[in-house]
Amino acid sequence: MKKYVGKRLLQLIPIILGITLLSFTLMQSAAGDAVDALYDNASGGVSEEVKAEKRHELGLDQPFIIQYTNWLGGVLTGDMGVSYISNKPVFETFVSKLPATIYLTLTSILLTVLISIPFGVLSAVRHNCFTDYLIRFFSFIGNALPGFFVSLLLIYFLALQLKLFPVMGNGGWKSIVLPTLTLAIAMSAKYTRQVRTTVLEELNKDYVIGARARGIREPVMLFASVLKTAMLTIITLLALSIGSLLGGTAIVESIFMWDGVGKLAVDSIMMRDYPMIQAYVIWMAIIYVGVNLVTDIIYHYLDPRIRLEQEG
Amino acid sequence: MEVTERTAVRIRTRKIKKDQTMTKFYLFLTLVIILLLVAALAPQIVPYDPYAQDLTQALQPPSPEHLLGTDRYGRDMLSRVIMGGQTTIYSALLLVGIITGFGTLVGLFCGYQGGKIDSLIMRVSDVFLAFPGMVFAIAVAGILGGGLINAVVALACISWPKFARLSRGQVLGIKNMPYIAAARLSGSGSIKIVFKHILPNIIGPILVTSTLDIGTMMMELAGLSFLGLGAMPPIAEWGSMMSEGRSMLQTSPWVILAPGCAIFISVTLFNLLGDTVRDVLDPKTNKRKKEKK
Repeated sequence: MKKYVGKRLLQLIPIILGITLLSFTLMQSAAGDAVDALYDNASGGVSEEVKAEKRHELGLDQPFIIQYTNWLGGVLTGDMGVSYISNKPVFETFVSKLPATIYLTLTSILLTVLISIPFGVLSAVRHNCFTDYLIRFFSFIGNALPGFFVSLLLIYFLALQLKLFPVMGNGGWKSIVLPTLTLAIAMSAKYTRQVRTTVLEELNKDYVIGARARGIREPVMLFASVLKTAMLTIITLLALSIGSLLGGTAIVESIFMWDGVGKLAVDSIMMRDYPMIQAYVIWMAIIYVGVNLVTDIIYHYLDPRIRLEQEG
Repeated sequence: MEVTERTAVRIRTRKIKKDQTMTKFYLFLTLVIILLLVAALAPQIVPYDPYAQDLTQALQPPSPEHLLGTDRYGRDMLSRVIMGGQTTIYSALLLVGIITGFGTLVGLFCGYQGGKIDSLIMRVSDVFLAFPGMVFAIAVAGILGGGLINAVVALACISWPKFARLSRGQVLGIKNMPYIAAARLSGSGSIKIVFKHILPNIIGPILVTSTLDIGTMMMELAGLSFLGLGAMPPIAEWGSMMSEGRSMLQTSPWVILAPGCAIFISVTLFNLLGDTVRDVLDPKTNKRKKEKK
């Protein structure tokens, strides 16, 4: 087990190397750099000499392969550099934004699970009845609403009209309600459908008929057998969602001014703050490997027939 | 006797079900075509010039003159929503066309050839599939700089692997069938086999997936524009129109509601069409469900 985990963690190295090189190359080929972004936003013209000096100071005038190796050398010695824009250390800034994102991830996943599993199971059990149609109708609508529209609607009705929650910011438990709702609505719509399909498939299997014939009560069978097997699919999906939520939900975070990594990423991309973007890219690689690893381990426990070593 | 009767009943109900799916299919297809026509003919049918500013008319609520009200520069919202449809819908269609075409070609090649290149490309597509897609698209779009074309490119970069996977799986399923061997024995070249004998047999599921993808892609494109990484103002595009209206949410919500509902309605239409295309092209799943019931 330990060996397997170690082996999987080693995969991080080529992934990080590949992806940081890729993002470096992309950034080099794009027009404009951090210096342009920094001075063009400031009022008043700044002469090309000042810009060139700043570029020299940041090392942006060097060939790109040297820039990359310099950066890589820094990372290996534990120094991720300073932000081109704020001049603060990248690592500290990035880590300080993580709790907000993790907090939002946890609440929205929790709400999604609380909505989608009961409704999905209910929808499958009441297959083709009114309840089923109603639930499917709502999940269909949820699937067709873009997240930014949902969040603006929520802001308009719950924050501006009813004044129940603050419009944006990180203060207090009330401010997390609207972003959580936005994310949970979109995800629940997807998962309710998924849970319904999976449970429906399970209900058609022979062991269910067997259990019914033996007189096992329906709820017991549903929760002890059906839901347990259906979990496998659901957990894969949830893991993927957790992965993308930990990557920061750029749109929702920027609408609600939620100070997490997603907003940080968008801001740094706009300002071409290379060291910050690189930190973010590394974070995504870690999430990718971590989420896959955790999913495989959970698989193994839920279904011992799945062997870990084969995949490693 | 009874058995034959029951079979007859079953065949009849199946036929009715099939007729219903076809009716639904034609209904949604008509609606989508109307939507596409409205978008295509936008410049001809808009009641006002969508770009003409008139500050005396700024932020008027919906009225008989301006059915959906006006925005901050006094531009007619209805005209802008119709114009925006052209931008949003056709760029989503272009995007889906690109990823379907490219992904399918890659999948056909990988599935048919196999070998080292296949496993390398599949590794790469694994990474793309597992990465949080939207964030990656934001990164690519941000790095390339704003603009509608760049947004399309960014989303295409992250979305093609889905189709590559799908078509590769399908190719692997039929590659070893006797009729392929027969075609090869009778002297058909690889290219002819792939495009004449394999592609027509796998096009169904690909078509279903790409129709269902149109709605998603439309939302993601609008999302990028909303962040300022897609269509640039003053171009009328639903996502950027909503982003422009954000600050006026409290006083004039129609500025947000009009493009938002437009996105919602068109995504719904494309999703409904996708669902029925699946039912039409894939009668097997329907039959299986019915027998199990």
